[in-house]
Amino acid sequence: MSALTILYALLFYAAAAILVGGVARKCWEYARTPQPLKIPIPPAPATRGGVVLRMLVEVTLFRTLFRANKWIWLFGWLFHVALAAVLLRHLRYFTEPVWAWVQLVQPLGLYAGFAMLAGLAGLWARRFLVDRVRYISSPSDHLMLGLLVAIAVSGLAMKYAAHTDIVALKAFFLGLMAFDWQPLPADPALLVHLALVATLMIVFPLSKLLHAPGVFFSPSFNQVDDARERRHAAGWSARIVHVKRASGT
Amino acid sequence: MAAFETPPLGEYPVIPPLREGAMAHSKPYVAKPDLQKPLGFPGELVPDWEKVAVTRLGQLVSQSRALQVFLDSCVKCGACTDKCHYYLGTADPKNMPVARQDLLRSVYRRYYSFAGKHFPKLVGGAT
Repeated sequence: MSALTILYALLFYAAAAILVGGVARKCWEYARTPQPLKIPIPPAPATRGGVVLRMLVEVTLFRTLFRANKWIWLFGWLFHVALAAVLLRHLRYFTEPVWAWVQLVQPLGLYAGFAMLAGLAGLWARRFLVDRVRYISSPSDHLMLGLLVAIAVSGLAMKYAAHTDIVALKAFFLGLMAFDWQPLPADPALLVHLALVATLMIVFPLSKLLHAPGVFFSPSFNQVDDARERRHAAGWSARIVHVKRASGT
Repeated sequence: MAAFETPPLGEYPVIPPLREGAMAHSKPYVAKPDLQKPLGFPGELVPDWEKVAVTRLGQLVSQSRALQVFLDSCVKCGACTDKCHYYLGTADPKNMPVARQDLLRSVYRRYYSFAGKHFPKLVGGAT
């Protein structure tokens, strides 16, 4: 067992623990915090089912972003959908045997790698070219895009320039999941790719990437618009003594 | 009466280029202490007001899921930057919604987030 294998095995255990533990902790924090007032963005659904539908449209099509800004929607949606396809393609490294639908997704995931880069390039270009977006961008915003671009480039490099031993790589990850460590192939592109992915996993629960779980907890999307039919009380609004209207109606 | 430059209102809204500091001369109109007392405000700044404000921010965040979620998850995409009519009218970038919330958010990050506590320069944390 090489030192490299041990290092990466420990790195991925730590990254996975931080990702899962960190996101779970944040979700717990969001769920526990009361939302004293009803603040759904109109037009808002009046039923629970409507809210589920709205959330579904929001997280799959980014509807409010589409209404707000077409360019950001185009690049942002392209990136997120492509990332999803790429992640599905990567499932083949973690399942044995590979599921049939994951095999079907393989070519799609390949195109998605380029689509993802295109989306990221568009988003990053805006941070330089649009004066308003340049004004609000902090170093971490640029670093985040740089990290994702580097992950995509190193991943595509392994497909098109410097192949790595993916059979050994799969054995490494299956071994990690079974706590039966297998040697990791020591190709530079692979090591860079894996180190960056681990970095992303660690940064996820500490950064604005929390918008992924956050959108589901967003009261402006997940609340039913029934404030007049049903009295809503949580946190400090529940402690207010309810005063009956004095009029004769 | 200050001289105002009012942008003409056409068929389509025109997004003005940034003019940093366009509103720098504008200060808040503070109510007189004897008007603030009955409302439960101290009237004057209390001695350690910075600490008091940061503590109060923590309380507010823990009492509102909206505040908590939104402070954590703004990705600064920029979609809101051309929406506020105060920004459209003054061209001061501090009037963009994301820049306004960033005033609060930078303090939140500095005192209440891991990234802000340890890497304030990176994420824009202010004291």
